[in-house]
Amino acid sequence: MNSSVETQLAMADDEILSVRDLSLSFPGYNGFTKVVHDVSMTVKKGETLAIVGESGSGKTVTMRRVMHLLSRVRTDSGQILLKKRNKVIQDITTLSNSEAKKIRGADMSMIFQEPMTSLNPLFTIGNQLMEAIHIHQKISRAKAEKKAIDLLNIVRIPDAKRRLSEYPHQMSGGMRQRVMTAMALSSHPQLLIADEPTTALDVTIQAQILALIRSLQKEFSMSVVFITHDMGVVAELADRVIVMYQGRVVEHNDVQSIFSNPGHPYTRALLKAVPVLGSMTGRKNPATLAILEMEKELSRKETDELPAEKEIDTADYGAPPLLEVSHLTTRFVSKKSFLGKPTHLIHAVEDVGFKLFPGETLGIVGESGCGKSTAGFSILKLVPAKGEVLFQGENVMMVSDSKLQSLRQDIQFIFQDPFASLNPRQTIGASIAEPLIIHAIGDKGSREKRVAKLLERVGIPAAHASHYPHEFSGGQRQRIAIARALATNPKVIIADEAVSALDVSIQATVLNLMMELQKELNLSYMFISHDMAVIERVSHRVMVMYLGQVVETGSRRDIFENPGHPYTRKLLSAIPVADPSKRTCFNMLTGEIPSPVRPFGNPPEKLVLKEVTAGHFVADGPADSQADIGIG
Amino acid sequence: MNKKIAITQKKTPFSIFLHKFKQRKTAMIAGIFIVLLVLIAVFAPLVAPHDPFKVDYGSSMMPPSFEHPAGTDLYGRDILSRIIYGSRISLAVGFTSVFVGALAGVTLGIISGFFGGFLDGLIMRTSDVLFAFPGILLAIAIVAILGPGLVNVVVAVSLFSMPTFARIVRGSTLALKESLYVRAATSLGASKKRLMFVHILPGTLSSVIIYFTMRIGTSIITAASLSFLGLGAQPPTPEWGAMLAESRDYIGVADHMTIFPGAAIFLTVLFFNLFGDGLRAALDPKTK
Repeated sequence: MNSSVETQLAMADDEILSVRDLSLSFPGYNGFTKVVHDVSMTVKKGETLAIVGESGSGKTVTMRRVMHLLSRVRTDSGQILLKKRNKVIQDITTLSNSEAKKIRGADMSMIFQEPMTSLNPLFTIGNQLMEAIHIHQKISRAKAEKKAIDLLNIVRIPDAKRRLSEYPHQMSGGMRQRVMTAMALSSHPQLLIADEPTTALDVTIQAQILALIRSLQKEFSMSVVFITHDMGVVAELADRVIVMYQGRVVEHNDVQSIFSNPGHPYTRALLKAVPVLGSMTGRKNPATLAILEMEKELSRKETDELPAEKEIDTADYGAPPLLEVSHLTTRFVSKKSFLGKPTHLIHAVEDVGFKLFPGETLGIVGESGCGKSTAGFSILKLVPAKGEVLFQGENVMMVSDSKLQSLRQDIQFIFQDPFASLNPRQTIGASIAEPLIIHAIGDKGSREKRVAKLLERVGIPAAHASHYPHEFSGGQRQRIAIARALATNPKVIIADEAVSALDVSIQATVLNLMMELQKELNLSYMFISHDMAVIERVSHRVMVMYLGQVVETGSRRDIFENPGHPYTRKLLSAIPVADPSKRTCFNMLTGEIPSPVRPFGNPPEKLVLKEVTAGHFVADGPADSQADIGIG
Repeated sequence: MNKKIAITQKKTPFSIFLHKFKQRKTAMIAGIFIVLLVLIAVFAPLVAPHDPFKVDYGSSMMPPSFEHPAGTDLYGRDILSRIIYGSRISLAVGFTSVFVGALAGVTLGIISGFFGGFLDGLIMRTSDVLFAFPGILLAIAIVAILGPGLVNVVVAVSLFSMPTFARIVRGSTLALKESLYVRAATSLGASKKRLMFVHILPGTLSSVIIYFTMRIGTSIITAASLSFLGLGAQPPTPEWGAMLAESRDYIGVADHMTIFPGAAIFLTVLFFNLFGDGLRAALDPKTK
């Protein structure tokens, strides 16, 4: 290496990674498209750098290029300098695949978003961990096994020795993410790249993983690059923040300044779009979010007013309830004996009861497997269910099939996944007209007019009715799904995680749209979500579910300002707060989410709800023992 | 910024398919050949240089010449003309038999997958029984019962295409039945009929079209085999399999009599398979 190259590859002493003016292009139908434009960033020793941005902003692509994991992407310009363990500075853009292999996993490693798919289902945890160890270290099998156990201990997996012989499917999502982390740590890299490692996890499990990464970083004085779209996670974890937008770095600052004094309009818009837990404290009714639009923000003067929040005061508790559910129970057969008799049941929904009033939003919150989605499906008999569901005095569970079809006009669904809930082979116009055709409303001309009106209402030009779903983004598709749900003028809309799959800025606009529609059309929502902050924003009343049962229900203020049940308190404490000066200590959170599968003929103990104040019901004692909920 | 929708040109599922299909050169060539073949079959009287039935004992078993590019057969008939007329029969038999088989198979498959239970068991076990017979044996058995002739060949071939279609469609139906958009349609109040034929059926069609194309090749071979065995087209009908059977005894003396009909069968089946392969690449969501 001659001296001129050496000066070119110089890095500051405390830097581990330095990306300089990196531009990347993807191959497409019409040649290459530039997706990353002149991105520069540095990571210092022992710090956490958060990269924030919405999907498609180039954050993951950039870091995958750093890991040398992309084969079809063209590097147009720039350098990626990594200081290896032996202090030699290496430009990753000049490496071949086989040279990169030696660096990957040794000097830097990565954990991915999907713990469910990033482990090989055919090998045991131990096998995979030991393989990761053997790639970079020539040690004996026995030593590698010992090391694997150590690694599992490091990532706080209890009973590590026994776990080595387990397969990925025997572990929960949180456990698998720990195993992935253990593999990434197997040769003590100086740099750990975490690509949305907690996005697919439940909030209490996310808190555990965040606490783990935080403590590991201290223990090994590792540098961490944390890719996320969640401003709460950023506030909890990061030292410095890079905000990316459309393939460019738009802001780069330390975490305090990003939150207290965001410089770029996009950062300001992003921060405004996040529903913040506690922001509704003391207010009776839900309200829309004051979203900043980037274009307006760019030209906004100091004196201009910020967009105002609109209060949604539509709930009418004087009227008789629209929907009255009691003893709703849904059980699925989980295992059968050889002769076909059920031996294990999934108790998805156990004896759930609630009322929904006109114009009201009932938030249903809980973690995965708590039965909140199944409860929604059960109301429309989309899954076999027992109990009583009175809709305007008529029992949905007992009516004939044809009557049920017509009842489905008045109760509509919005599903979580806007990519899957629209028929990919129908134009969006046809999809929106579908309920009108099914219920024989209007003729062809009037349907077309209605579709156009609905599309305009949800913010999509009516001219796009003849396009197919794949031509729209996630947020637009969810708007289309909302338009479809509105087509028959329903009274109740069941929104099942309707905004969970969307980017925060899109999520905010969709939430606002839903709330505005509620005000306009006096809709009632059953809003099912795992996100406490979103629930707080939109709900008049809230119901907390745990293992198929209701543990607490009351007005939004009851639940969020005076939570009565330990599980509600646990959920609230697990949420990352989008304020770097108030970092939470997640260490109190342990435990897994228990399974609702139980042997046949052994139903769970019924919880008795006690009224603590008017309208605020709390289950008597936790659903299971204290230890299971993870307190203590 | 989200209000703006950047759609430059309309992308229908068909235009995407066309784009992907155009990238497969072999499939494009196969497609052009098939189109040509269909045109030749349709305009056979215009294309054929001679009357395929005109017997001329004076020029029996003549090797290829300028007058007869593929030579003549035992009775002095022009082989090229007979192959051209034969393409009518092969294509018609191949297409109709697969079409009938597909129509029945798709209907049974969607019923089987959608309703499940007893109906599913009945349809699938019957298919299993049909699968257990070697295809050609089953066809021979059917033709033996119904008597020889082209119509009965169509019946036989379609009967043994049916179970595969039923199975393919049942599989896709089972998957689509659980898909979110079908559940969404259910929640909108769609009837079972509407779910089956408006929402599920179009989703299964891509695999049906792929298999349909490939199956035409197989059916042409089966039909030719039956004619070769004397169970299909009866002389003097110009049919490729029957032509092979007639010239089999003279393979040592006049090899052109077997080579040209054989090549016609071979190329037709090959191009149908290549075409089907290209369709699979363009239609199958599992391949990129």
